[in-house]
Amino acid sequence: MTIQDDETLQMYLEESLEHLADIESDLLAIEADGANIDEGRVNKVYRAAHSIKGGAGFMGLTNIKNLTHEMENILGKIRTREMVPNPDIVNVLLTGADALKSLMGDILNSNDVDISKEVQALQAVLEAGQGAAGSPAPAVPKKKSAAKATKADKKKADKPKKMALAPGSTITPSNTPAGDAIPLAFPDGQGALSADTENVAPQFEQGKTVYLVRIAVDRHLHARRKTCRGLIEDMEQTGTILGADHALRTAADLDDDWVPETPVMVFLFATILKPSDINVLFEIEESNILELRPDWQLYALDGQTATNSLPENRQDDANAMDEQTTSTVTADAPVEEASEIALNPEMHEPPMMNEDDVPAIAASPGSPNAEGANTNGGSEKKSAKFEHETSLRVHVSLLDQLMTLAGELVLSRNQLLQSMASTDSRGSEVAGQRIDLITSELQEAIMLTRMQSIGNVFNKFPRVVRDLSRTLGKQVELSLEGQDVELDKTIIEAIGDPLTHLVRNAVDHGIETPDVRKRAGKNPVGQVFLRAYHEAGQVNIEIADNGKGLDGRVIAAKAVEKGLISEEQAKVMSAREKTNLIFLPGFSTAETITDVSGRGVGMDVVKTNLDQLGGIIDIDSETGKGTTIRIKLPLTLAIIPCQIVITGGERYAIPQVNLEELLRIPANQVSRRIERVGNANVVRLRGNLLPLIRLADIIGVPSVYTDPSTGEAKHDRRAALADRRSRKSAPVTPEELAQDPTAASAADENTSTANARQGKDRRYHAAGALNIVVVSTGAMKYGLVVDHLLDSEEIVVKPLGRDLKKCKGYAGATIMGDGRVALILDVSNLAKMGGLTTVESTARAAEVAQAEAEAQRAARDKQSLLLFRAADNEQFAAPLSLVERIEKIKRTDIERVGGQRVMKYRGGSLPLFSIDQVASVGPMAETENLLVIVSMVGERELGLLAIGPVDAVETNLNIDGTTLRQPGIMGSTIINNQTTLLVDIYEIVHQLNPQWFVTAEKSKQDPEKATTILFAEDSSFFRSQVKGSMEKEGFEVIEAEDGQIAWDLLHKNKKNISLVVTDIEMPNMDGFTLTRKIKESPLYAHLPVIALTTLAGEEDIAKGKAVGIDDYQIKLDRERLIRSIHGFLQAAA
Amino acid sequence: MKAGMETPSAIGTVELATFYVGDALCGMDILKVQEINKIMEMTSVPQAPDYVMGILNLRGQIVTIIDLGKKLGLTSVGVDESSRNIIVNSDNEYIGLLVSRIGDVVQADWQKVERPPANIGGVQGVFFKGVFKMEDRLIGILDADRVLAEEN
Repeated sequence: MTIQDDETLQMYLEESLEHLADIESDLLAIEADGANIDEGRVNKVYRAAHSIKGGAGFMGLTNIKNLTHEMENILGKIRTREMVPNPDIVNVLLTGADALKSLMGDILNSNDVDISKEVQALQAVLEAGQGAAGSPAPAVPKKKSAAKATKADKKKADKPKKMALAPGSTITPSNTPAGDAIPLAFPDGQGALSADTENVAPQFEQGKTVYLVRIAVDRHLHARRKTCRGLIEDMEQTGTILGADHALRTAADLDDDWVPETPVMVFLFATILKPSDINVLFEIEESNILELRPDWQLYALDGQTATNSLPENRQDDANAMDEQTTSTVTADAPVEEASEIALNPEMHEPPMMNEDDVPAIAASPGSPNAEGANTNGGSEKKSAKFEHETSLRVHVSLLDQLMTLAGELVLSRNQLLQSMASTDSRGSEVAGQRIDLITSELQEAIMLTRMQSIGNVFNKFPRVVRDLSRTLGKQVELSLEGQDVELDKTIIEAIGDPLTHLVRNAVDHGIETPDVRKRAGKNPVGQVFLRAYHEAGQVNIEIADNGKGLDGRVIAAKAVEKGLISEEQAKVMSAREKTNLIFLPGFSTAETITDVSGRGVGMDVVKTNLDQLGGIIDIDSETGKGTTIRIKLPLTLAIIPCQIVITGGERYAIPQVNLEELLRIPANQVSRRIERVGNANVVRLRGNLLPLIRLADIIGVPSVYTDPSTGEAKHDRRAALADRRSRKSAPVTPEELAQDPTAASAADENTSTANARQGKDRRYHAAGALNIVVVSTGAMKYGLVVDHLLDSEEIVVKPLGRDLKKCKGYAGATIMGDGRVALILDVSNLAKMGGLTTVESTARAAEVAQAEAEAQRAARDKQSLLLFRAADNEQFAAPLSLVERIEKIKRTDIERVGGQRVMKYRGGSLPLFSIDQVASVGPMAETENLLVIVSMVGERELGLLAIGPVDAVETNLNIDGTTLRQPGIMGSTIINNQTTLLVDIYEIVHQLNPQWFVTAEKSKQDPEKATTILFAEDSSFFRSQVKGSMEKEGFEVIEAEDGQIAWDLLHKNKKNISLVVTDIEMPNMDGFTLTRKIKESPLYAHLPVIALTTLAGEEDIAKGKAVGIDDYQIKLDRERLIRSIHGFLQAAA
Repeated sequence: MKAGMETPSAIGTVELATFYVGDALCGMDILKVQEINKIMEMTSVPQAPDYVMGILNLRGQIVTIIDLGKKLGLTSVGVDESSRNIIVNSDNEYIGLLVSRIGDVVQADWQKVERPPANIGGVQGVFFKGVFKMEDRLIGILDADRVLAEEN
């Protein structure tokens, strides 16, 4: 019947769903605004509801139309501030939106769904809201009208009839019924019109009668040789036109032959004429005149409540706009009098409870809904659900781009074919390159069409959290971040459920009730934080709450109790592993089920879902502090970046999402870094023990290595990863672990067995190095030992055949560039197959971690230096932080131009210097092969000529700043038992090219003239170095030997000091403490603090940030320090 | 035709693609055969069932190659000059059957096809739809779907 065609419906549906998606979030925002209404927002929702309604009317979707109509009424009240949106009202509106959504989900059957509950709720709100509104003047009629309106609405349940309160705005064609618009219409649903109580009520007070009149232009007027103008003139003389369905103008403005656009004119007309006399004026069928009484109900002229009649004539009006939404048409209502449907805010409700309010129920032909359903044409049509996910909106520009690329592809193909035919290898090469390029672009563009922002998923969570926290009596605030992050459509669709589950969990199990939180000294309002961001070609999603957290012990105990793990297993588990036990299938039980998050399915389902998407889930929780769940997802399912490795002569792909890092342990370090803890091989990695498994062992292929001397592939006969000399988990003192080679070798000897190989370690060869792919499965990290590491590639995932389904170690297969197939590894299953356990909680792990921490502490005041030579017998060092890169050149590469030595470097000329130009050191060695140490001074790159061997060392600088001090040399120190000169690159450049610094110096003079910097540093060498460079810049520097002295000096000179530069490691008071004191004191909190370090570890930086350090700079990087100081001073000014 | 394949007693003829598995001559409805190739660049799949030779790329599709000899409980077919992959479509999936060598296409009259004995040359009779007697030899008509049915 009224459903136009699939395409129109589809469009309507898509648009409406978009509107709906917005409605929800906007409603929540409206709720948050409370009485302080953001009109723009309310209007937006109002318009959205209105568009849905309009379309629904056009489409004949009665239920949707009715529902939106009710919502619109309430929104209208909110908009006019007659109603304050409180959570209850918003609740009802949200329920309405939900109902709408479900109606749209099955739109063809939407007219058959019982929506009475929602409609009633909406009406109740309207009624209550109006009762409570109490806005001054029109309060009385409104109250009355509200009460009656609801009654009337109820009656309309059986009599699809209009009742409307319209906006107080000017008379308009009502396609934007404003505010509290409740429309009026004839029982057959036509002749819709909106009127405003404020407009109409005074007419009642004046004793006038208000009529709703419709007049067919042709039949009623022209047939009687009347003109529209004449009619309006007559009406104006006998009463007041309160509203009309067309753009109404006064008779004076009209031409004699004016006709409205619609074939039927509808008026709301107030006059002193009584119902018995009114038709004298119009001379039309009485059914076309209804009386609007002060109870806001329409009555027929004979005093009966207006009733609808049997739906006999179906409308086939060619004019789609006139096509009615309902098939129930008043028998005597002429078909051609159908008015604009989109304007027809008709309501059909199913029968309601109170029959007293429905006097004419007997006369009713039955529920119009049923009627609509019957005429809805064919039950077979209804069974076919409308699948609205089958289409996707794509921006035209993107389509254009695709088309262009397709065109280019065709051209390149032609080119390729042509050059192949003419055996032009050069041509096909070019064509091949082009095709390569186009393919990538095409792939990208096609991917883009599939990309959707994760906001689509996130946006439903405010609602979820709000509803849930209300139900649970909790106060929860949800913050969203990264809604713009885009993911493949399939993934977006698939993560909805798992994410919802996690968010619900966070609110239900994570966040405590307000009083519990208060008792724990927390803000009673809990926080749930949802964040999405890109990282390394993947999308990360974090769901964090600051609730009570998970207790690993309880979880482990429960898992043991359920027999999911053994007690022994539980014992050796790290806290993190224990927490991750909640992902075990069968963990979620009746005990944890609440009616909110427990549905008999648990986190294992979440994990399974994510696994299927190639995602990784990880949980991190601190008891009492909260829980953070991290999910890593690939951007798309079909094409994923992978690390390619070789084992046993075959290539395997490891998805990048699992990849943490690649590790190569040189042969001569194997014995030192690989150890055995229990049965597991582990590698020491930055203070952690990482369990290792050999891929070859797990999948049962022989490991292959290339013999370095013959180049032939040989089977690796090593039975164990760890060397016989490797440490077996024996007690170890921290000193030994400070990577002291002698200690380590001593330990090796201790543990080496009697049959240890004599002589040169055969693992000396590079080929004997261990290649380790550090992979993460979420809960644990481990190292997968492979034969070779190849490149990272984007691969297309292909499923494996059924015969290989039982091989759990593979996630699929892919086709490599050479056409051969490579298997994709499933690292989490490999870990299971390898029987891997973490070693995090073993005693040895703790030792190693501690040793590492100590080593780091020790390294904190160490300086990384680059050792090099210029002449054979003199060793130089330069701070590694100043070195950009080292280039190997031939002496012939050096050009002498304009009295300067330069070389071609990255498309420009790199000025070259040697130390002997400035300092009196041995002359530059006359070798053929030279090194150029490239560093940045100012904005310029320059090269320092040097010869090998170069080495990087970390050393505790005990610099003698006087003995060997000379231009270009800042001092000397002993490295590797040799006196080493520390090169001052700045000074060299300054001496040789002072003009480079002119501009920089000019700028510094005036503004910071009086600027005083407090500088705390315990090493006198650095103190003088850094102080010197700051003074050169024109700053006043007050020196302090440690934090305590600095603090005292600060007190003495409080007025003058505008910035603090401090070392971290200092006796008496370290830089952290000093900074904390400064930042805690109201006197000095404004002072910027720049910390100077030699080696800024991430941990330190975090710690520094926590105490308020504003910036970190490296000690000998003068440029950056000065720039940073200027930056802070300018910011302060 | 398809219905005719169901029982040996059906009427009509069928074209059989014949091939050798070791010394045993087998046949298969030629309509079942997608293609026959000699791509032997297989990727071995560690931990796969022993009858899986490996997987290969057939124009972008991953095809599992099955050593028909092993699958039928005979000795391994082994890859040599004459060995071929018969690619069949079974259950919407392409599977390659590695055979020792390819024979002729033979017109077989269903009426002359006999029920398979319990054992044909060491192969269980259930894998065959029937036996077709030629003048000089017997062709066991292989039931590919049966052979490739998932093992439990």
